[in-house]
Amino acid sequence: MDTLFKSEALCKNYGRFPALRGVNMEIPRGSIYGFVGKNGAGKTTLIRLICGLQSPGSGSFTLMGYKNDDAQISKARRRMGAVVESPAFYKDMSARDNLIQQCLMMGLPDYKGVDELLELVGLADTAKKKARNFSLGMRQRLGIAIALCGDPDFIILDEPTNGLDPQGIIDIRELILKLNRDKGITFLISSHILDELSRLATHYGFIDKGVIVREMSAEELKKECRKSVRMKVSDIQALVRVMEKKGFEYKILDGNSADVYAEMNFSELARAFEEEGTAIITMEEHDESLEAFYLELLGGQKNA
Amino acid sequence: MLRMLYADTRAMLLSKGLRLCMGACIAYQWGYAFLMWLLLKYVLPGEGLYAEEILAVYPGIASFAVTAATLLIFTQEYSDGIITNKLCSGAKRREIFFSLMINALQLSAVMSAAAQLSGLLAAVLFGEGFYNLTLAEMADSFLELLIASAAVAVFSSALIMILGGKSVSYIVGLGIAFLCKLAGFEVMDKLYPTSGRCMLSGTKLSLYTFYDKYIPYSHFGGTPRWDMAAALAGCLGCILISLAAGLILFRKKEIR
Repeated sequence: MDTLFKSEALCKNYGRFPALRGVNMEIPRGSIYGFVGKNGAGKTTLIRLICGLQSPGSGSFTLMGYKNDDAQISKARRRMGAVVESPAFYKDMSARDNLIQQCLMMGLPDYKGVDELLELVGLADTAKKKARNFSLGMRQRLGIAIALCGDPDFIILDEPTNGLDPQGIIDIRELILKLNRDKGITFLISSHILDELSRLATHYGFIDKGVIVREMSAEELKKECRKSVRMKVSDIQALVRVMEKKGFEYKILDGNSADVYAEMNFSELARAFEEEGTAIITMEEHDESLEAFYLELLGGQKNA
Repeated sequence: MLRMLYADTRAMLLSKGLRLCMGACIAYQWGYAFLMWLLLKYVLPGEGLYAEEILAVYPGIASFAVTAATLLIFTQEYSDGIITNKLCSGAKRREIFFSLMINALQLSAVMSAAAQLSGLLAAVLFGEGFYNLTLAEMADSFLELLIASAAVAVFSSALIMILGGKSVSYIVGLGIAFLCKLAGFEVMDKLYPTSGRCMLSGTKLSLYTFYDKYIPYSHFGGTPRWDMAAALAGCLGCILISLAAGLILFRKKEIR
């Protein structure tokens, strides 16, 4: 898989505040890159640099083979679409007029694809309704449709499911997956809804305080998001004694429950608890979510 | 850049801001003509409403109208994120800037032409013909209006590109138009007093004359006081300074 975007030691300061501190990041072509980070971690700053809205303080990046200081980088950006923060469009125009406007601005020879795009994002029936009167979901779809004008190779979506209802989230997800699968479009998606992201992304980049904490593929993440057994017992001290005796890794959650990270024989475990004179109230398999992994990652970083 | 200009022109012509500003200007012109017609017909019979008076209505408010229109139409480049879209689609900053400036020139021309036509129509309906204005003088006034409007449009558009689509653009743009209008009254009063002769001398006279001769905002009177070369030099100077300063600052601007 070749690389579509690569940054090296990318830095950006806002006054004295370092928004990016030596970001090294790589987006493989054809991937859906989930960009994960807290508010203020530096996600949108990096997106702004990629889009040419701001310039880096130091470091460099390469977009589709063009370096950031190359005068020809606009050629790469012509193969790109983006929705940065909130969807951008002319509020006094209809969805169709907005797409025609984008086609004209990009110098496309015709705008035959406009109706197809409207169909694709589910805005075909909006007729002459002004974009000003669109719901949040419709605005988001229009933003994506504008980003899709001119058949881009790379689309950046900053929090694409922000404010969408559950059906809207599913629709956007299906659309992204379809475009990635059918047209081979590479996506960079920053999102707070991590579980939603985990249904889409093929690659992840975790950013915190302007630094990429970790980059990994979805397979690697799956391996790292460990499965655990969540146990609820009548005496948590007895659980601690049993786990210590057996050498199992565990994490106390509250006064009577804990997560145990180990392959275990349930009959043996039940016997051990019986010997301790304590009862197992419930026991269930538990998947560590992307969210939990992320929190652990940040915690690890903080403690490092 | 032509594709960008074409797209920008389309957006400007379809914008609500243009319709709103044009509507307001025409309503003001026609409202003035109609009220004066009523007044002269029923309250002051025997007095005539001449076409010159009706045609001078728009130039009186043109600096505000053009500033307001550029602000309403072009601030959305920032506030609606249109600039973001343009940059993300590979447009160069220089292209974006010049396209917007040319579009501002077009906007000022469209507004001046439409207001002049509407004024003529109102003059035909409510006026009693021209008192002493010749066709050549009318063309001269219109040309001066066009040039001054173009300078003001480029100046306020450059201001938007520098300041961003924030309310500060409105405050600064309309504030300058208002201050220049006030300064214009002062200059007119002192340079061309209604009674007696001009008492200014030295630096003050030079300054007042400079303002009257070269500052675009002083060329909205409807009746040219200086030759066209002076108006052209002042307005061209304002356009060039706005373009140079605007381009330098916009190229360095961090867009959020």
